[in-house]
Amino acid sequence: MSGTAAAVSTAEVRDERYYLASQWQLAWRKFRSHRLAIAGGWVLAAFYLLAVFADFIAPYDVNVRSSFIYMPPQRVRVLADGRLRAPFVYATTSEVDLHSFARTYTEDESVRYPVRLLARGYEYRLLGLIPARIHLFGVAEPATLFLFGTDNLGRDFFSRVMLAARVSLSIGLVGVALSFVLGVLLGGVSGYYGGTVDLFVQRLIEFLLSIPKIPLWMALAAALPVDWPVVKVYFGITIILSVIGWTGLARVVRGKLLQLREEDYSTAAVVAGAGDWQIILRHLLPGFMSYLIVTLTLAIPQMVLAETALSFLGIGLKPPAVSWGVLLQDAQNVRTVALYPWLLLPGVFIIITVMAFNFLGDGARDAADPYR
Amino acid sequence: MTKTRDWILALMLSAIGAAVALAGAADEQGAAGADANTPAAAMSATGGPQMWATLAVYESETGNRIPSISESPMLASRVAAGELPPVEERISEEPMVVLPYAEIGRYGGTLRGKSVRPAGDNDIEFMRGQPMLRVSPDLTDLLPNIAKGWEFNADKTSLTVYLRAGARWSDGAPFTTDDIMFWYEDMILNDQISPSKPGWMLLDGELINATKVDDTAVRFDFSKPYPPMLSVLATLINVPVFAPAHYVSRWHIDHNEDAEALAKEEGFDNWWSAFLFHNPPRLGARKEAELPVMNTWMLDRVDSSNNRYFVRNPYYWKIDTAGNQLPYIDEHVAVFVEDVEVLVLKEIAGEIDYSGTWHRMDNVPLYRENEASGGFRVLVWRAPRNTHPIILNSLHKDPVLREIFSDIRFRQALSLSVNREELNTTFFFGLATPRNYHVSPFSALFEQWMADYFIEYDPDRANGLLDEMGLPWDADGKYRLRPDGEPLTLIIDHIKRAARDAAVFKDYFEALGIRTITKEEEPSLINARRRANEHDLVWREKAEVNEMNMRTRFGGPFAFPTFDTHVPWYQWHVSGGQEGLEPPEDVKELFRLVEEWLTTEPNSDAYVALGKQILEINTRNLWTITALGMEPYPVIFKDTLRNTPEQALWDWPYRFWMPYMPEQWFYAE
Amino acid sequence: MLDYIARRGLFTLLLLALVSVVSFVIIQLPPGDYLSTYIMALQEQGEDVSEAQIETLRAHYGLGLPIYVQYFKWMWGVVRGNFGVSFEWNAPVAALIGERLALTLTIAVVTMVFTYLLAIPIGIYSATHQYSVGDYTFTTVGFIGLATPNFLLALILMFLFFKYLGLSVGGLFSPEYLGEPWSIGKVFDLIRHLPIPIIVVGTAGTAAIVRIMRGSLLDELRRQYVITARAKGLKERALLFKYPVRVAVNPIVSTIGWALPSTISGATITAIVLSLPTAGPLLLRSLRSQDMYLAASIVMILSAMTILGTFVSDLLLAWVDPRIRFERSRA
Repeated sequence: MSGTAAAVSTAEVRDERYYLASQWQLAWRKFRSHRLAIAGGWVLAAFYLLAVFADFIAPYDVNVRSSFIYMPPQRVRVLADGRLRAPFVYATTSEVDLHSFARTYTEDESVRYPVRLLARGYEYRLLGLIPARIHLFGVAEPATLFLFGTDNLGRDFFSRVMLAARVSLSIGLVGVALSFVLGVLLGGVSGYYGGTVDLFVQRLIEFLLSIPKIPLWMALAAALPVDWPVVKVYFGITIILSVIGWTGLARVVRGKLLQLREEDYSTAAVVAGAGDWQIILRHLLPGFMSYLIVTLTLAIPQMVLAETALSFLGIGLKPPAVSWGVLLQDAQNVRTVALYPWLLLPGVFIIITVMAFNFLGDGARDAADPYR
Repeated sequence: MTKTRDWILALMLSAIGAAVALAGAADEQGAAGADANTPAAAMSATGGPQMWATLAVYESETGNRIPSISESPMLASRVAAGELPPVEERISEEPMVVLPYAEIGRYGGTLRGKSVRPAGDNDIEFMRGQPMLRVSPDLTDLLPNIAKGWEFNADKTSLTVYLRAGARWSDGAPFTTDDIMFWYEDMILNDQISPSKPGWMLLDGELINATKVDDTAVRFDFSKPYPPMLSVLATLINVPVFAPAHYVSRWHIDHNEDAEALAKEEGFDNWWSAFLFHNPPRLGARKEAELPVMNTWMLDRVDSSNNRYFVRNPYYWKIDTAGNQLPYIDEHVAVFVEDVEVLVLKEIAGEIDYSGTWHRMDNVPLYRENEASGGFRVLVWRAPRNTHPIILNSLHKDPVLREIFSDIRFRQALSLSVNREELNTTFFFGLATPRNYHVSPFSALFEQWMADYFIEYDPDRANGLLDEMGLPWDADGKYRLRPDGEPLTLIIDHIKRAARDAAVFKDYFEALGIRTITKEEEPSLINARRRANEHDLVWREKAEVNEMNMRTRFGGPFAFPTFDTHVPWYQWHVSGGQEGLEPPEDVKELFRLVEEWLTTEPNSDAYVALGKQILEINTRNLWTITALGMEPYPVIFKDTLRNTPEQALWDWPYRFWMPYMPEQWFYAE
Repeated sequence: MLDYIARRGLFTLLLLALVSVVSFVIIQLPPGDYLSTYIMALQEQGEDVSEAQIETLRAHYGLGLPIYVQYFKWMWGVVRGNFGVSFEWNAPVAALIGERLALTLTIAVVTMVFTYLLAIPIGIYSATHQYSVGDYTFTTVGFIGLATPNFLLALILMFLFFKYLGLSVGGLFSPEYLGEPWSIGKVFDLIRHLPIPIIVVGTAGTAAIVRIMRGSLLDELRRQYVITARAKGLKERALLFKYPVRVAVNPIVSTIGWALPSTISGATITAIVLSLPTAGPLLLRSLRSQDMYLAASIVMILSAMTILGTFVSDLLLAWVDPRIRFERSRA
């Protein structure tokens, strides 16, 4: 008897928790059941962690050259003489063939160089604050450890990709945050009030959208002063991206608001004496939150991609700054695709990032849907 | 004449030999191709094509006779149809005779070139364009071309140029002295068309004078001896010194009273806009099929993808030793590609038959891999020019920087900071030669010590020099401070393609404690800033230092062309002190020496002595610092294309393809 | 409705005028002019240009005049159908653009049709079969397309097509058809060259539209009226297409107007990499070289197309969703 009662009450409690859960708690439950979204979330978490500790993870300084030019990714070995060993590498020698003009790399298998964890390397500031020389891994000279190979100046490509993650991963967030605020504000006002305000905002959007992006970008990029340091240029470019970014969002918000304000519950809210912003934020916004989230999650990766596009056009970040876009721009030639394909790795990172964001957004969309 | 040529050739060959030997032991261990990498080897093997000014000269010098003239079947059919006069009447009474590189060719085929710039690359323009005189295939001599000959008076103040009797424009109209006089009187002297006059036409501020002697002779008079006029006439290809008067005079107000109305009718603001549209000041800009030319091939049409199609000039005035009218190849197309990488793909697919501009050594492995499948050959030539010039802006707006830049120790330090060996192995497979700003080794003016001046890599000594100048380090020991306490900063602005090289130079400079910002920019912005004097320094991928350029003065302020910098000094000089800024004494001295040098006969004792003196002033002042010379440079030829040089020099002062006579290239079966 | 059209039409005209000014000004913003590009381009190839030559050219191009004078001169021509002369090409702008606009539109329209034909059914399928294998497959493939930078995809595809299919790359025609008149063979050759641009430009667009379609349709499907209709026994198919799909298409319709210009714009990078003879690369090149009449004309034409497109899509929207027609202001 008591046992059954207990069982019932547990079920009731579970039920009750379900019914009493706030919308966000419900959303979180649903989100967790979306496996791809969770996977996306984990990937992104890992990437952002990589970005934060990039210089700890990177074994080499991003700008240090070596004589190993266009060296393919090096193999870390665990087998020698048929036995399992601690990870090690062989030292490599390079040779240039003056007929084919190809550089060939041969491993000298006589000496093994162990890959050391927490090895000492170049100096950097951990989290931008603490001076440090310890790196996640490294290898003693004269051996080298180029996990992703080297580029046209013999720089360690792995380190470059790691450091580049910082710019590429943050530019999307900052840019979208800016566009989001602008988009919801102006789109909301426009869609809700209609009339003259709507007309004005709509024409402004139309105007911005009607100017082809490339000249607009180029004009804005040309306005950035020559002697600006990399950080300022970075923010400048974020702003350039959001100048156009917000318009799409505003249109979406406006379109949905136009529709929703005709709904009965909206009229009811007006009749009940609710204020305008209260109606927009409390009654109308939740009505298309899911849609907004889809748009938003598609907007972040779009910013990431736009950054690469800017770099391609030569108006984005430029060397010596490193971002995935900058690295890809270097790889944008036939010889790289044909002979040095490892230099396309930043592209893989971009694809994974963008997909992860999309899956995450997908999960968020389903979770935020109040009707399911 | 032949003797001098042989002598200079020998000198040049030995010099190149030395240069290549210097390029390092790498050559020796290189595969079979490495030995042939010396221009010397190939050039001496073939002897290059030979040419005779006219048929008469050929027959008298060689004792050979050319019994009959033949022509391309393509033209023969037009003659048969009555559209063209017979070939004997088209090649002028005095055609030039050419002995091809290797063999007499066969007619036919379409030469597929390329163009990355809409109006045509130098690749195209300098293989079809024809100058008055030409540079010999071994680059050592000047030969007749459109002009069959020339004559200087005793003191070299007057030059008479003789045209071929019966020569014709590509539309069949006679080509006479009047076409040169039209260019001189109606274009150069006309202030609407030429608001300012070309620098090479001005001697001490006075314009060269041109006079018609008769229909085939024109005389240029100078206010003082001017032997380099010949070099000028041999290198003016895209800005010719003649114009088809019979065609373009209708748009000229002095020849047509209604020119103004005609221009308005065609939608132009004024007559000279219409004139310049129909007869653009530069060859590459010509779009009109009907504009008569003297070129090997003439523009026939442009399709909607901007591919440009050329056909042979039926009135071309050169024949080979078997009496065939040149060129061998009937048609020529410049395939337009928007993007250099697409060009690379087209090249490795074998879709381009010859290609030189826009190449870089990085692509050679790719070319080599696809040679067989694409049916082409990649040849590694040499470019005698220097690489990576650094020119500090001595006229900087910031007085502190101006002060620092004018200190020779600063320039010496920069030169010592450059690791030329590294640049050589990184960018040129070790095949170039470390060289500071100096002419190439086969010039009579070459001096080893000048080429080697401050080329060693010695950052310690460089830092010592900067310490001596009193440029202290900041508290962190990272950067040096200027006398006013600011960090010493240089901005290197560069084009996208040079980003990799700029990154290396940034490191070199930063090793001296000079904070260096590399800035990738659109070419137009870089140029605009330099013209507005808003740059710290000029830094590029390459610099042309060459006797030919020195002689023709197609350059800037110093003896050599430097790049859009220090223009005010040059203006001061050419305007006789009226405009621009007065340069410092040693620069004034340099200008004086250059003027004097230009009056000397090339290769005379005075010429060599003065030339070396000019170079020495440049060297000692290190106004321009460079890294390497004689860089390897890849060019591409289709397998079936014959009579092309195996090894040669790729050089702008000689106008790239021009000396190698594309009109005698041909397709084997 | 007529009143609505008239009002919107008037604003459209005003906007067009504004755009013409802005497109001209934008071109002038970066320092320098065509000459600085020109000189640099010559030096790039190793040539030197003298001061005298520069002065001659400056006069020739009329670059000494104040901007507003240049603008009005240009505008006066534009009104009469003369867009000026391109410096770099030494050819009338109208001829240059006219030649390329047709190809540009062809590619854009084909790509758009491809995109919509693919995206809307997939979107509907994904929404009605949420979390099915099909949904996941489409989602993943779509996302990969969306995630790959266009220029990279274009270059890699181009290389692969060259390497494994032996396709002549760059441009829209093989060398054997260069300069040939139109023929069956040439048309087939063109068709062989179209897949790369369509794939590259289309992938990103398709994925985006699939996501939007799926998202809005899912929203609609859970609405009361759908449940009611379903409860009343309406056939699933009829129900789906009668209302929810129509409503869900709404946000896509609202973007169709500027989809064309944005396809053209978005195709620019692809077109550059592929060396297509379309308007995009022409625009970028003219911007870089500050070939101002050409650049300003292209910017203006593309802008005008967008503005007119938006106008059309607003009318479409009013037609699809009658509620918007009766625009009212609540005050």
